[in-house]
Amino acid sequence: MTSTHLVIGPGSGEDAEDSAELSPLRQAILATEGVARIYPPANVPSKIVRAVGVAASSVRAVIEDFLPSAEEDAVAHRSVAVAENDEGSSEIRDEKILDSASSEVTSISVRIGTTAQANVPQTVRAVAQALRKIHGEHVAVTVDVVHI
Amino acid sequence: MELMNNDEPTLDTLSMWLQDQQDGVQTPEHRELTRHINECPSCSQRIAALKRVDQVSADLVSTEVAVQKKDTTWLDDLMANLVFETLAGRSIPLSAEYDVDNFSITEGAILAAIRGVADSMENLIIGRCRLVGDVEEPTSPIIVQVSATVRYGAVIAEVTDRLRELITAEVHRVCELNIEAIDIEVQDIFGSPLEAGE
Repeated sequence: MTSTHLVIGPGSGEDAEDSAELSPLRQAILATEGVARIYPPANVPSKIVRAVGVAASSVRAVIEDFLPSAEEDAVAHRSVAVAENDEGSSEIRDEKILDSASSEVTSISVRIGTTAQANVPQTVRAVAQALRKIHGEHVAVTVDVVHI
Repeated sequence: MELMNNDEPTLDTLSMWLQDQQDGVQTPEHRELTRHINECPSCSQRIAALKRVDQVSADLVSTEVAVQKKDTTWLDDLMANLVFETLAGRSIPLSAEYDVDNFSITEGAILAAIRGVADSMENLIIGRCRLVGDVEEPTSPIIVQVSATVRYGAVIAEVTDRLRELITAEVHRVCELNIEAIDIEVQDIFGSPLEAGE
């Protein structure tokens, strides 16, 4: 069983395509009372440093709908890349959407902006509830409010 | 107007963008920067702050240009703090029902919210705004420090009391910080006796 970490981006703009996997999550987040918008994830890697072969079971899979190349390359084989972010730290990320039979969504991250009148603590808890309705009680949710 | 790969646009660039936006400019560079601003919370907050500065400046100029104080330190103070406050800053935790969850709000978002309610007041402009204390520790006592400029003729005690009420309500709306005190330092007066009807 491979654990999968979903990073939800805004999924809009010229370069980004919606994906069947992430679209329902994005819709659920945006439908939550108090949520104004979804922001792109922080620390988007500036470059892919090198590609290495790693057993899929040992990696934290990342599906990044904000990087169009990740979706375009979503094919059957599993190539794993080590990405380096601006701070120089390395993160292993799988560019491929893994077979649903062998992977399970264990965590979801999203950065949001809230409306001017929203109660922010209640809003983030409501977002987590909405995501759990889709992926189950076990999923760990990270919500970062970056704009009000 | 230029936006390089990973570089953040400068305040000057954002100011130019705002002017172009008001003038209806639609160049590719403008559209590129618009896209960046829409996706960048820091730049969105800076644009909002620049719009407020524009509004305040226009209000003052329209009242009576001839008697405006030449000393605009309050405006300089506001501008100097704008960039600092719109950075994401520290990550401030929010409580969660599940241990596996991780909820937070950026310090910059809270400061923007505080500035937003302060800007709703006609007789006051805030300059510096800081959260003093260990905001990353949920129960740690926090002091909100604000510097302000009050309009000539306004009763300072009434204005600061009202600001304190608004900040208290806004902080409770957006986060769960343990606010111990809200310190407001009035540093200057803006406006003029003429404007105040004297």
